[in-house]
Amino acid sequence: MTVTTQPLALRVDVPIACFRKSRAREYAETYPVPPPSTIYGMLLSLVGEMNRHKHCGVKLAISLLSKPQQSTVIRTFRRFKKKEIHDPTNARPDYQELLTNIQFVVCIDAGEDTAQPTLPERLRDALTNPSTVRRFGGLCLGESRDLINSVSIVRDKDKNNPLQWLEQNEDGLLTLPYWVDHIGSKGTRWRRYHLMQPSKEWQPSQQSWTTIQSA
Amino acid sequence: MTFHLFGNILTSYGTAANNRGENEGNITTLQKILWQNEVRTTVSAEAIRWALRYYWQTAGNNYRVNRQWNDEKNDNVWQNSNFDDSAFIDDDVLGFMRAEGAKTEASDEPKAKGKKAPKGTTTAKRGVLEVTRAVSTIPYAGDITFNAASGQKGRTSLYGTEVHGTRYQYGFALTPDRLKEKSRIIAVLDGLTSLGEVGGNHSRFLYDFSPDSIILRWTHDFSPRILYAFEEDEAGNISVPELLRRIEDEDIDPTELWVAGAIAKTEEGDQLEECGVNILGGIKKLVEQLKRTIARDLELSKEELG
Repeated sequence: MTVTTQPLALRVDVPIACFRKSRAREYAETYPVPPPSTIYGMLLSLVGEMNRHKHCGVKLAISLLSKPQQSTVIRTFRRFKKKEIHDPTNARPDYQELLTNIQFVVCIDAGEDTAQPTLPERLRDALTNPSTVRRFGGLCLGESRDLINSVSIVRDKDKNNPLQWLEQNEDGLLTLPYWVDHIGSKGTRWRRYHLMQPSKEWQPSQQSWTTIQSA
Repeated sequence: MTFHLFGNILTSYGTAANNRGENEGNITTLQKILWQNEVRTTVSAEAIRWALRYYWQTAGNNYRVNRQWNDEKNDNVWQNSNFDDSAFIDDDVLGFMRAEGAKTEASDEPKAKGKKAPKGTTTAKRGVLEVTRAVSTIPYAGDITFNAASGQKGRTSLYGTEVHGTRYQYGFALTPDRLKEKSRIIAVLDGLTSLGEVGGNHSRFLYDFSPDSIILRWTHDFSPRILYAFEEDEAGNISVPELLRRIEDEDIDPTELWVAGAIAKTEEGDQLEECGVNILGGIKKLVEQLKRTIARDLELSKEELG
């Protein structure tokens, strides 16, 4: 296994996805960027880790490489109204926002991740030797059908492209979750962010880093 | 050591209409999304998964399907509402979920000391097969047909329908280790390469989704790198520039790729072959070859191979 303390930078390409807003109910709105909690979940899935607390303390910095386009479709949503599973009232059509052409970079720093090996080390190892990874399910971001097309370590030639960093800002208009509680939402935690103007600066600033931690 | 099967399927050219869109006045619309700065029509993953289940139900291959479609009632009928992923292929491959909410809201009731808050229960299995949304290969130009309902005419008999003459492409991913019976990967391949009826008039029953060209990847890699790889130019020529670039960049090992159909007979097909891709004109023949490789890697018996 390669052990290095350098942050790892990954380039991720997702053709279609919806990052459903935490408070969206009947109209499934999407965040314009993948939230830190969603990306953390995807990284755990990539290395086949089922315990989401395992790498708490890891730090993520996210930046968009593309300008995703937003569309609205109508689709069937499932809900629990009647015990009989195929009761027609358990399904209803509703609108959902979709993003297409999502390309982003995520930098992963071990931070206070005390697990051995740390998440960036496991990721680096998985990307170098995919055959050693025991994992399951299509690698996705958002819903399970929203498959990721590719995940690769950032190469020097990628660095010619401008990118938009997501920076923490207490007056920012984007409130994104960095930890999600799936049973109720008492433990869900958000931070406020601002999506910066496109720049060629590939080094994340201090405000770009978000520490993943449970409540 | 985990094997994954990824695929990208391109359908034949056909006329799609009424793909589960909403109505606007008396115009039946198509579902549309923005794709590479253009408006494309789209078919949901659920419609494709529905068709796969219907294929298993009607294929006459001893597949046992839990959620069966009743053509007379126009509705689904469950064989076992508690689900059984050993007995039923659709429960195993496509997953299920049965959720029951808590009888009282946890936050409303003051919790007695030592008593746990009421909770709901879930019986669920994540679908092993993931299918992506299908996207048209060319933009929607706005074609509409003008129709009249048959029989007695009334004030709602006249209607319009958006129609798109196009091909669609969609992807899928499957990790056979997660199947209760690994050999069901063969039934998934058979189903997806024979899929007849997905989108189209009356929701699901007209547009032919059998592949005209197919790219499959049998690999340890966790991301497919082949999704939406087909491109169509204004003259209707199909190409795979992104796939060739990824092979050139050594992001994909060409020997993991299995390509068949119309794309095999093009110049790019020749280039793929030179790179070492497994390529054939006949989709069924190529899939048979891939099945043998899968059976070897997963140590399936001859009977399981079917």
